[in-house]
Amino acid sequence: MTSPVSPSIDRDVLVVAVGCLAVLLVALSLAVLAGRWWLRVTDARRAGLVASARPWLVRLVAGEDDDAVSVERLAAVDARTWRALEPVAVAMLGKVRGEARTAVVGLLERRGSVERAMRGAHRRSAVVRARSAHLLGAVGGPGATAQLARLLGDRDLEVRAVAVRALGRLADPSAAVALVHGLRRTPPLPHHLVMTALRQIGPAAVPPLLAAADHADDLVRAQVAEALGLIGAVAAAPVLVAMLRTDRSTEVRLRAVRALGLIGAPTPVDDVIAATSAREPLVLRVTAAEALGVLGARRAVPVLTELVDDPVHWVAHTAAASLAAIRPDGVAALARVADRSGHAREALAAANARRPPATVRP
Amino acid sequence: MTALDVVSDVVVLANWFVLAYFLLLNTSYLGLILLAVREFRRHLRRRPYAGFEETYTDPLALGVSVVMPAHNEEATIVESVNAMLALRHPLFEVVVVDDGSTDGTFDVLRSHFGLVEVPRVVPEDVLTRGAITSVHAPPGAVPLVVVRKENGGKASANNTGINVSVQPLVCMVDADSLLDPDALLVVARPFGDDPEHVVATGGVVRAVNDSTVTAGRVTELRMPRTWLARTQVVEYLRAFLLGRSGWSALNALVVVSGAFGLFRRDVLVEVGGLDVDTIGEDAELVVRLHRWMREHRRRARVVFVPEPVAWTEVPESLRVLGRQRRRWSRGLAEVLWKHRRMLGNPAYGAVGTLALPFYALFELLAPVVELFGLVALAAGLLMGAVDWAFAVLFFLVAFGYGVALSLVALVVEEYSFHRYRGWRDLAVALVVAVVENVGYRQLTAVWRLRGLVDALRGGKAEWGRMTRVGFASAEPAGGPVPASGPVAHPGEVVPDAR
Repeated sequence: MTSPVSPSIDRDVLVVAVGCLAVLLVALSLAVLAGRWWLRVTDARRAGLVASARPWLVRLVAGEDDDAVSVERLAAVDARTWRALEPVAVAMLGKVRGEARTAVVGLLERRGSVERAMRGAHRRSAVVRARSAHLLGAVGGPGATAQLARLLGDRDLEVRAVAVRALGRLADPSAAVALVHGLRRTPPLPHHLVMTALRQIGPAAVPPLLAAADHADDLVRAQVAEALGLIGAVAAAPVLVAMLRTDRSTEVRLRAVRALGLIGAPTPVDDVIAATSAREPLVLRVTAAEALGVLGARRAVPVLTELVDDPVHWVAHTAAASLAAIRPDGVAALARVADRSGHAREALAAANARRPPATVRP
Repeated sequence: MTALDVVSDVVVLANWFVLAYFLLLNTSYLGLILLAVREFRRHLRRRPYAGFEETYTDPLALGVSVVMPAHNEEATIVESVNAMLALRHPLFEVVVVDDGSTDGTFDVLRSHFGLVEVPRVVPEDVLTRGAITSVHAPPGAVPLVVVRKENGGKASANNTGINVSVQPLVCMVDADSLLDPDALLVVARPFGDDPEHVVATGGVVRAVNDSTVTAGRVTELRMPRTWLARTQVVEYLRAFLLGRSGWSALNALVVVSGAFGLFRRDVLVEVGGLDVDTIGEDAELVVRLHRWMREHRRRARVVFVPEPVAWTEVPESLRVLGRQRRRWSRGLAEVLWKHRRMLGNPAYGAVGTLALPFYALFELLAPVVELFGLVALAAGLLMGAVDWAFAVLFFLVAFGYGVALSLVALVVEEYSFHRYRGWRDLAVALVVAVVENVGYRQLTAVWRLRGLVDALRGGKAEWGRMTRVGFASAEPAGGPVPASGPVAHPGEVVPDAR
């Protein structure tokens, strides 16, 4: 090939390129084959190591024979075997209770896994910190909650998420303040994980939640309302009613009305009914109609029956579904309007067939 | 200098241009693969503490409506629906939209699940084509809804599914796809991790041809028997798994496969659902999502999840494959034309400045340049401007880089997910990585060029017909399922696995 520059240079460049590519192709092919070989060898080795010690772990968990013998055996396995076995033992912790759990925790402590995790929580590698948080959440024990609470402020989101899950698993009331503080989004935490963790902690989380109920950030107040509902904090109903009545944020009002439904206290029914008014934002109306069904409030039947004729699809649909949940008055009301409302017919059919109603959460 | 000399120089320059173009294209892919490696590494390292088991029992997990548009899927629909119903997730429903099937799709569903017609008021949240004729559900608490409607096309069927869906997340899957058991749990995870920004997630699609399927699960994965399907296995690995992971890392993912994608329902409604007039409706939807979010000053993330997997049959005949690629190319051209305002526009972030220009230059125009290069080389040889030795070197560099790219993809797969466990499968993949660059690639270039011409000419888009082979099932569930072999029910089944 001739070239505007120089044919000989062009050809030389291509020859060198072809040579380099040939070497690269061979290297890549060898890398593929080596990868396969390495994978098989390491898998087999790991399986062999686990298989050699697993029966003792199973005996320990099952409480068969003498636990002390199993512990001694497991405590004596070499470091390589323990590295392969440790994830199996940690995974077992999530599936066992009582003495079996205590035995496995004791083994992990004896092997130094817990101590390593406490140290690992300070390591530079985010993966090591997350793995350590996971283990601390599974094992618990002195210092674990404080260590995990500290990791809520970790620079890595993944580590923070693992710490939240771990605190939820431990359900230690002393973690509630730190978790509520985490709602303030500096640094941000996955909110649904915090909600789950606060629900797992339960009533002990209510005081710090109430303390954050007037936070300036709309999202924080909304999450506080949601968490109070998930915990079922009956005592917090007045605060939630106040949020529903006066908060400037629709999101906060929406979560408050949903929480009132979950709590199930009878007193705020009138406020929830008021939230279904046509003057209110659509999402709030739909959520309020849904909450009335969750509350099972017979007093709401007339209002919900009217809402079945609402021109907005999701308001009418949710109202019908809520009526189906209020037995027997709501179902009777549905039967009365079924001839004129498709939503009523649908909800009635679902109620009769014991199918969950088809409602969508806005 | 004679006129012939001038023409010769032009031909030579054209050849250099083509070579530079392909070096740049493959280097771009290499960059995407390197980004994907970083993502995979992170994904694999977080596996032990990702907490998927906890998500499975989490009452706060976001519910998912799995929408399965079906048209003449009698052969596999029961097995597919059973597989979907067996997915691990705390709160989900399966919505099958029978899009005017002319075979026994609905009859086999009714018979197997004991469906009864139920009253249902379906909102018109997004536009559809073809009226709903009836809605059916099984007795009891099986979370299944079957909607029958007049034929209106796949996008319209998906839109009907969106309207019928009642969960906050909508998962669109092809009726002939099989999902890994944890697929919903994992693909829904980014919505929980970043609820304010994640609007869509896409899962990876792989070829299931000739693998063993038991009770709707891929139990033994094998390389397909035909070389055409084998080639697509490597192609999907390189272009879909690694390419899309790379784009996801740049927050510039513009294609979520119609075979397995998860979306926020409220956002789908806000943007109007899928475009029923576009043939590349899955890509168009994602580009429109990005555009809508940017224009409404909302931060949005579309995330690609490299595992688990949606398994789908890939075409095993040149005729069907050609039609599929022609359609993809036409779809891409239509999407780029519809959203041309975004091309190179920094107001649309990395999607506007990186992804869409890449798709325009290196996906849409690649067949044009490739075929132009072949013509230029032939012309150069005929005119004596190019000697044979040089032509061979030229080919070796261009295609050697392509082979290297496929091998890099295989290396990454081997050190990350290594789904194909057999040595024989590995040997086949290595051979395919080489031979796909000679013949297959040029053939796809022709098909893609025809798709581009189709787009330029306009006119009605044809989905065409595709013959179904069926899963190689060890234990057929809900009636006989044809194993690999003769086609039992040639149907309107076009796996859109992009």
